[in-house]
Amino acid sequence: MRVGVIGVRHASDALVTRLLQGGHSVAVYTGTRDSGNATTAPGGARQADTLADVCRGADVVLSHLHDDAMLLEVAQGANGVIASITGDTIHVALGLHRAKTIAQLGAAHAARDLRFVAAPVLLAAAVDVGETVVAAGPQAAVDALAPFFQALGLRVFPAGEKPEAASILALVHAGLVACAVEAMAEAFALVRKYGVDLHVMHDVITDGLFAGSDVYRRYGASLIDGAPGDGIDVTAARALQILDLVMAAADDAKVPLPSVDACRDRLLGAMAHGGGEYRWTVLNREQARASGLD
Amino acid sequence: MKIGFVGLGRMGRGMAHRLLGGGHDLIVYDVVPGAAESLVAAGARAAASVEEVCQRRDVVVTMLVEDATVLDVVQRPHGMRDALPRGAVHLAMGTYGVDAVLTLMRVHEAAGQHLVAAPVLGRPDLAAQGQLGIVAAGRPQDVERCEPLLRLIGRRIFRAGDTPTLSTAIKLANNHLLGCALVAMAEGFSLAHKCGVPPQLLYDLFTTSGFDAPAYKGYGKTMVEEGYDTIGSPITVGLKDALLIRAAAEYAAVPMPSHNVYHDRLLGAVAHGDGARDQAVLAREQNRVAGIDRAPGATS
Repeated sequence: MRVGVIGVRHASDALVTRLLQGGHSVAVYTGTRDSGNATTAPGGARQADTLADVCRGADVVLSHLHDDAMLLEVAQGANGVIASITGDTIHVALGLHRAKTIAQLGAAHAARDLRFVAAPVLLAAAVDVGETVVAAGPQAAVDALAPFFQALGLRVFPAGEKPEAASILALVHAGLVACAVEAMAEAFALVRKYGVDLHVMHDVITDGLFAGSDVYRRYGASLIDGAPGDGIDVTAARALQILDLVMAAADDAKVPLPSVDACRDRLLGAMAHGGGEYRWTVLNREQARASGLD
Repeated sequence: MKIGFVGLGRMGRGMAHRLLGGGHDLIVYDVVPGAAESLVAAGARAAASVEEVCQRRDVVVTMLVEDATVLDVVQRPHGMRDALPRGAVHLAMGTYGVDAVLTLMRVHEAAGQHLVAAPVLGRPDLAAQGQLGIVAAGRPQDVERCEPLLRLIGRRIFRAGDTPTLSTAIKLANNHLLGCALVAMAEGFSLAHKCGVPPQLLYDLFTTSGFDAPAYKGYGKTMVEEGYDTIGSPITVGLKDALLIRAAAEYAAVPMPSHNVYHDRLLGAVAHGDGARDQAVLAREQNRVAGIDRAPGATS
């Protein structure tokens, strides 16, 4: 397929490489070039100079952005995606965005008979199913994308026809992960104070009620030993951005989320102590610090 | 071995049956008349008092709900302190708090007896099948003496160390994790609901994306179906344990903001008359604060 990728320099390289390996014809747009600093896409991909250029003739346009304002500008700005694609293209937003933003874009595309699918990637998934996108939009478009995603090694969780539903599901899922991590950090601080070996605690956690949960197993191990992993390697600063999106959805819907907020506060504390660029599991250290440990 | 068993409630009865199945000399006691019936029919003796249940025993198991009860059983005149032979073991398997366990350690040591704290993980059906998880802590020689009993009762024994409070801390921390999972799910379901996302869809997502575990699958399903009157673990027991966790955290000076959220939601559930329902009813409490008022079973 002909795929246009709108991304952030270097951050989208892995995605572009996977697309090329899948045999797709790829064009990449990563914003204006810095003067004197040539921006080159991974070998084999065509560097596009404008949004119109990256959308031209594309079967799928992937917006791979972290920032809502950027996504709105890219999609709805002059000579942006909406102005440039045809009814044959599917515009996919792969990033995690505010539900409001996604709903707005869904409506804007639908108004022009253009196809828009929200397909945020989950923060963490199960190891045996791998990286997961939650995909929502016009049924035919989601169906058409399924083999495309699967060929990229992504598991697809279909979530109906409203794009913002995918956003809500991915954000709630991120909230669940955050709550589990904060709860474990608190549990570890408590038992450490009583002299418990955290490896014994981890064995107990992963044996009964939480047996089978890759989140508890992997994040628990990471909190104890610093082991890396998908979703775990997200920085504290980035995790805070994600939780801000969750809280924004909660604000819009008027839903108190005290557990998610507790994790968010721990992250803020971690960042206040210089941990912004560390893995977000550094909130464990923050909980320990708050407990007079270390 | 000569074993005594105090506390034949939902968990204790199944556990005592497992010990009987191991061919041990078993005498049992419960304040509730008739609680021992099925065990007596299966070959156990019924004691008329705590004193009687301790006579010439190697090990006496307590499986009681409240700290106050186990402390009374031990400390009352002619209770365990007075009646348990010197050198015998009190195998304390209920979920007791730190303060209670420290008291028991002190009292038994002074009486020349030994304490093994071995709280269990699992529900009554697992107890009856001998499939509980057990976290055991105490002097190595005492834990070893109890091992044949623990193997009858449980599927897996976790050795926490030499001091009984080690297993107390682990058990309470594990209960805290469950409570936090419940309120996290409740918050997730309420946000999804208000955004027009079906709860079943959210459930299907998280149970296949990293949360494929009994805590999330079981309680999550109860939340989706609003089947709060099928009791796995009632709010009142959750609140009892939450208070023990709070006390453990206070004693150790550990702030636990997520646990506080769970505790507050438990109080809210009680305040709104849901105290006898399953802990999954915390989803209803979260819905209340989010302005979603639904009676159980409502489909709108």
